[in-house]
Amino acid sequence: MTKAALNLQGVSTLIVDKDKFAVGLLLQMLRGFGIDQPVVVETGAAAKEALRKHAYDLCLLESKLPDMDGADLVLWIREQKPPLRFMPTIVVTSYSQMSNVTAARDSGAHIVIRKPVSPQILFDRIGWAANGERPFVETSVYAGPDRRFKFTGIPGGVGRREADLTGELGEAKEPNMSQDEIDAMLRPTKIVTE
Amino acid sequence: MTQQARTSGNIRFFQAPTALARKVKRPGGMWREQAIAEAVRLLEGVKQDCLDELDVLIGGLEAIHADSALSRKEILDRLDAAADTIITVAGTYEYVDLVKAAMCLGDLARGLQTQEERSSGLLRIPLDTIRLLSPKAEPLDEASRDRLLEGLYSLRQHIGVVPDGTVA
Repeated sequence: MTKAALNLQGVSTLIVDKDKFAVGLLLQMLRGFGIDQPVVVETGAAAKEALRKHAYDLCLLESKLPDMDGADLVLWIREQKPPLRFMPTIVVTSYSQMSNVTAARDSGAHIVIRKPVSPQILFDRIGWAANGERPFVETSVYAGPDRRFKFTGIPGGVGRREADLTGELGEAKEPNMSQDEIDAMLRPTKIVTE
Repeated sequence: MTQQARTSGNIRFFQAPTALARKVKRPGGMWREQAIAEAVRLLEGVKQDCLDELDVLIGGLEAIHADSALSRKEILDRLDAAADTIITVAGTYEYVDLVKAAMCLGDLARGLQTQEERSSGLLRIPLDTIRLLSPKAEPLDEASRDRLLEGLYSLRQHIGVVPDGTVA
């Protein structure tokens, strides 16, 4: 939870999403936080054009864009020169299965938020993305925020948790992840190396 | 630009300064509770409009499903996208059962993409459920809602679709 006050006034924000409903609701939330006039584009191509023309401070993008996956757009961002390369990116998704969250994380996204997005979740994750203490990592195959985490197993043992699913089903291969589990995959923690 | 870079093999760690990190620390700003309360107030301000539009969207689902001008894939894609929108709006305003029904619709629409042999007529069940759980519909009692949702889960299980849209 973000405990300090955040000054989000004047934070230039790019929203990449073609769903007018989702965008409309995000705009209300961001306005409530003090982010005045986010720019909205619908496609990955339009996002690239906007990002080439203007230095945005924050990017919120849908995981499924009409012309590309959100993860591919994040990968493109991480291939650019600073400051765009370092720009905090938040991926919003309805598809919160581990493979999708992993794809977003491994593309270099700072945060993944599952829909529906609440003001509490969004504010806290923006605060987290703004946290300058998270190191940036560059390797031959990855550029993005430090994604190391200490894996202690899925809470409650092996497999899925009952609460992850919307009902009683057969064996699920890959259940939807809760927001806490998504955060645990992206939040770096100190790891012990021999 | 960057400070205190550290390398380990071909891995480089450093603090990458961002404008966001700098700006949020400027004097002023809003406390968490204040910012969230303002966002909630603004969301409430557009609630009626959103629910009206959601009603129109739900009312149009059947037309998408029955549109003979569209291919099966186009119908499934559009219903999946509509389910996504319903999850967003209904979730924001805490219509929990409607969110569950829309999730089922999305799961089924994606699952049926890989099951050509199955009729997309199966989608009539989640479509009916969504209509009955619509915010503007006559409220159902809890037992009826549970039965509807159980029917959806059974259907999803029956055709072997797990929540990620793959086929079991």
